[in-house]
Amino acid sequence: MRAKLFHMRLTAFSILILVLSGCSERQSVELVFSASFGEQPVSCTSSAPSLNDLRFFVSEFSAIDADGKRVSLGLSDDDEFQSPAVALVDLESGDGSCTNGTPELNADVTIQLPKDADFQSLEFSVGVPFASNHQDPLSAAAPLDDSAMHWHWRSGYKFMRAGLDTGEAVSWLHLGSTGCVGQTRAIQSCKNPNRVTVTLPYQAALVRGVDVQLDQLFLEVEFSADRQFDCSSGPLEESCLAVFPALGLGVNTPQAVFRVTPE
Amino acid sequence: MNRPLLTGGLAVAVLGAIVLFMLRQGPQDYVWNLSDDLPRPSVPANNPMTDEKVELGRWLFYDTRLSVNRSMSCEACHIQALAFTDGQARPVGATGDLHPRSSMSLINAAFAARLNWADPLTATLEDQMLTPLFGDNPIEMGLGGREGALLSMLQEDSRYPQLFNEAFPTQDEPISTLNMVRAIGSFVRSLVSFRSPYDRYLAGDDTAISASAKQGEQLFFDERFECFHCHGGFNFADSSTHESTRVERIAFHNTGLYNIQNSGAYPEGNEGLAEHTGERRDIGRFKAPSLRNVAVTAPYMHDGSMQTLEDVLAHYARGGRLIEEGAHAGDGNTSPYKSEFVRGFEASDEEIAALIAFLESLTDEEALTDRRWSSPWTSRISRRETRREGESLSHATPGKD
Repeated sequence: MRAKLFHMRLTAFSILILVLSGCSERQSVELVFSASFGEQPVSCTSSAPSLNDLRFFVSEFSAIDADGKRVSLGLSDDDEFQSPAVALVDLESGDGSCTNGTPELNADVTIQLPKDADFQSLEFSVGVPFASNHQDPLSAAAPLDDSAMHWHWRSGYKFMRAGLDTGEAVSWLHLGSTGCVGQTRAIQSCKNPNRVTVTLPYQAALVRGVDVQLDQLFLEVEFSADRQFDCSSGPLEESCLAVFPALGLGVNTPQAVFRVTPE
Repeated sequence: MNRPLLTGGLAVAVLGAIVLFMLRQGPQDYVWNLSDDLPRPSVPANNPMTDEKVELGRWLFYDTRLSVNRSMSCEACHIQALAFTDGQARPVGATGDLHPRSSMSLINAAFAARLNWADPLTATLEDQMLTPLFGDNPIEMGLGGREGALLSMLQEDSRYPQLFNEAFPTQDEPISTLNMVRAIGSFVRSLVSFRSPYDRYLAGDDTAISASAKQGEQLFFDERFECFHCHGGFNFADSSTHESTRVERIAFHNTGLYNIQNSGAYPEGNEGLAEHTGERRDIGRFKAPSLRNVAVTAPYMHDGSMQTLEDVLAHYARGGRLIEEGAHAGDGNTSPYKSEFVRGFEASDEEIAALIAFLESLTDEEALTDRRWSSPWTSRISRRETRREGESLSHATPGKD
């Protein structure tokens, strides 16, 4: 009697292991992020226009197969630029025209992609998930412990800091949630989450990474020598109407800034 | 089982527990500088008050190395003699950025339900200070992204390691940005005082304030003037809270200070509560701050655009400000967003003088000169230590570690 029970348990256990290993068979895949302006790579030291800033959070990754089935993708934890929930892409090197930047760079985001699956597209958010966006930044784990990325004024994080230096003036965008109610560290909801949804055609073997097209972001901005452009995501800030549509915010069209970089 | 061993073991365990209990490093009850009839401020559960934290916070508050180029400490915008304001319409940050709004008094800020001028979210001093310390629009102290250099400075200082150990005795490595913020928060929270002539009058000293001020008090609490509607309670403010408050009252008001082109608009970048909510009806709504010490906190309003108390009372008497020319021209009296309490009033010169005398009786000279709140750097230690060669945070490599 006992032997029979033991064998039953062993069989069930083995099946469980096999099933679990099949489901959790994942591989680490690197997405390399880059920045461009008008088909040319752009950095803090390129000739005008050059970067003034480019740091943003990415999160909520998922992959979609040909049948439309969606699989959630985790991030690997490196205790510096990535936690399981969110990764910080840092494409500004703190030199040249990146006057308020830091030397640390992080272009690679490592996602956990199921093996042997036939995916057609990749989706992610530019932003910090709501569950992590309103905690105490001084007790947060990396990469949410960076005071330059926290937006104390709006009690959340700057999802994106993007700035261009045309040589005459600097145009910049700080993107974050607004219209939040509650109190700091106990926020109930935000009327304008302002997270950017990026959906890209994707097959792991064919894609190197994601390019941020800054000319597309600032397409509707008139660069001029005497006038600096800036948008701080203010709900009544008219300047933001020039850049939000390019990010798919406040409109029914998808974002036009992030695109795939082929291998 | 071995009975004697069991009983002996139990006794040792109980004794051990008692000893550990007695040795526990809990905070003693902090003694507030408040008479028994006054409420105590709310204190966040994760930052109980201790004398050691307050003392560490005081050293940090007055330390110019807490700015990116060592040009300013918290004191630059919060000068004790001016009730911890700065006498400016709007302050300038460490790197030259002009702040859109005026510095606010820290005395009794411990009792504010919301900090800042028009912020519906920031409820504690610890949360509020992250903006001046780390914010970049405008840059105030300029520490954003520079925690690494800041922590190195604190660790290598001759005094801070011991002060941090005393303030956070249960932690092995107490020097952290979190603890720095908690210490400064404790110091600012300790800045409570109700020792003005008016307070002495309330306590029974009939000679404490002039006859004119007594008349002014009557007028202040009168329906004709409506001052008390927004500047009422023990702290002469709206949106006050203390440890026994059950229902939080948070309010913001548009007093008709601007009405650009008679559209209700306020100057761009200074639209008050609407900058957070996005609701047009919140344009120009600001917190009514405490009027304690108001006589030393000129200029007035969120942007320091009113110079004297006479100007302020004339504004309320008219029921809104008229700006005849320039980019901000418009009549605040007819603003569609103006508070219903700002209706204007008729008042004689004598009555205006009485109101001002009353407001002046709220000046707490003891708080403005209390040595326990002053800078420890000048009294004992020379400034040599804050001027060490080449040790500016802007020269140190910025970064997270």
